[in-house]
Amino acid sequence: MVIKYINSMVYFKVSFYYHAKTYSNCSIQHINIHFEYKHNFSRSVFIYLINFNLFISPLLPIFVDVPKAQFTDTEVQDILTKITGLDLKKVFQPIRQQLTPPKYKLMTDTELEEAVRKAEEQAKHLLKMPPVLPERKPINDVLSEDQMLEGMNTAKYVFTDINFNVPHRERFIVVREPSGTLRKATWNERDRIIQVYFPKEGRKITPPPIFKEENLRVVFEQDRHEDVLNQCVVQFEPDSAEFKNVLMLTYEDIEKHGKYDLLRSTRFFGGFAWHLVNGRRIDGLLVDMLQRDLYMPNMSQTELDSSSWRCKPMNRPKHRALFKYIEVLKH
Amino acid sequence: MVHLSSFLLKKYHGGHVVIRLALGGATNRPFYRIVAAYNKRARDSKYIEQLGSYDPLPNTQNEKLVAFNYERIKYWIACGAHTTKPVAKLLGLAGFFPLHPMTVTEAERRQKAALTEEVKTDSQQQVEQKEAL
Repeated sequence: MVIKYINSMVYFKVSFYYHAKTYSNCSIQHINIHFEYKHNFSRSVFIYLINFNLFISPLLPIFVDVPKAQFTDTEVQDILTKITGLDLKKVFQPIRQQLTPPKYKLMTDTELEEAVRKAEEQAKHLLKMPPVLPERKPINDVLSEDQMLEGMNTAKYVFTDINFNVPHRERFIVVREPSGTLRKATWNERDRIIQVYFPKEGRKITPPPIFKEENLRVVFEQDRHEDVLNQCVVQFEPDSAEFKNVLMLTYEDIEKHGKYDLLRSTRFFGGFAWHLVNGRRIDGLLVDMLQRDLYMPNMSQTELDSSSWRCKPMNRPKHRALFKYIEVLKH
Repeated sequence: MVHLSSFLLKKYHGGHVVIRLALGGATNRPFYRIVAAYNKRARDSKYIEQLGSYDPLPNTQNEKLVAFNYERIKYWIACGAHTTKPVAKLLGLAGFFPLHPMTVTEAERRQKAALTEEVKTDSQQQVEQKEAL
């Protein structure tokens, strides 16, 4: 599939302004510098800088508290989808499937464009991010205490409601202990029992040993982060502790070794970027994106703007002067 | 259309629908299905509807798994189905029915037996101590 670049004359405007956040969230401020440059560039040239820290903060006027951005905000999602990228070759990488012989079709240009467009839509669907939810609270509900039943049974009785119309979150799963107490089942028990009666494809009843720390280390050395994450999404619920733990370990490992490219066109990139932004450790990621010439939005701590631009390493004299100016500003 | 058991059972004179345990599984490995069936039918033969299952042997987590389809059980009881004793006991343990009186009675009997055992062993120990002295 061929993606064409559109060449055009692009004009840039010089303006100098900065965003500021409240003093409490002052660690990341940024300055946007746009350049007026009448030249026949094939791509637009903007420069984005972050982390001007203490230099700028004395100049800041006092602003009103901006509410913290959530993962589910439309602007946040827009930005995260854009930085994930859409490398069709990687998204439609051969997955282990039934082998069928390839189909060849003869198409006109318009039909080819149509096919590419449809492929992009399907790729977007495949790139849907797994949700980032707060951790689920443990269930400690006791329905009844019957001390007289103590010693009657040596095993627990687990009663489930097999009604098909009930969503799994609202299903009644209740445990009668040998001590006689009737309590609601814990989250782990719930997951296991629902998998017994309503099996989901790919999910095992006991989590496979790949999710143990030692085994994860081995897998990370083989650069198979994406496979681990896919299995994790299938096996665990998105708000469970084990899911979050595995995700965190994967993200830490990627950040430690700088293997940002592994997740680039997958559906986990958004969550990864969000994790780094929340931990305020995007420097490595941004440097990597700068070096690879990728789409880079203006990301701030509390408000994610969506002005689009692309960055290019510049060696022309005028740009070198600009860089010096930036360095001066930094110190 | 509501199943009215007496209306349907012209062939089975005086029969009714029951919710009972139908045995399945293998040798030394029982497995029960909780089933709505006509009273006169054989225990494991054709039933009207399966309402759940009961596994009497505990699994690796020491749990005995019981499944109930409460909606359908409510429907069949509303149509006039009877429950057998083990099904009623299970439903009592689940909290859907009140605790079965025999469960309570057996629990009390067990406690009484445990008390007498204790008393017996205590008196035995006392006798042994006296003999030792």
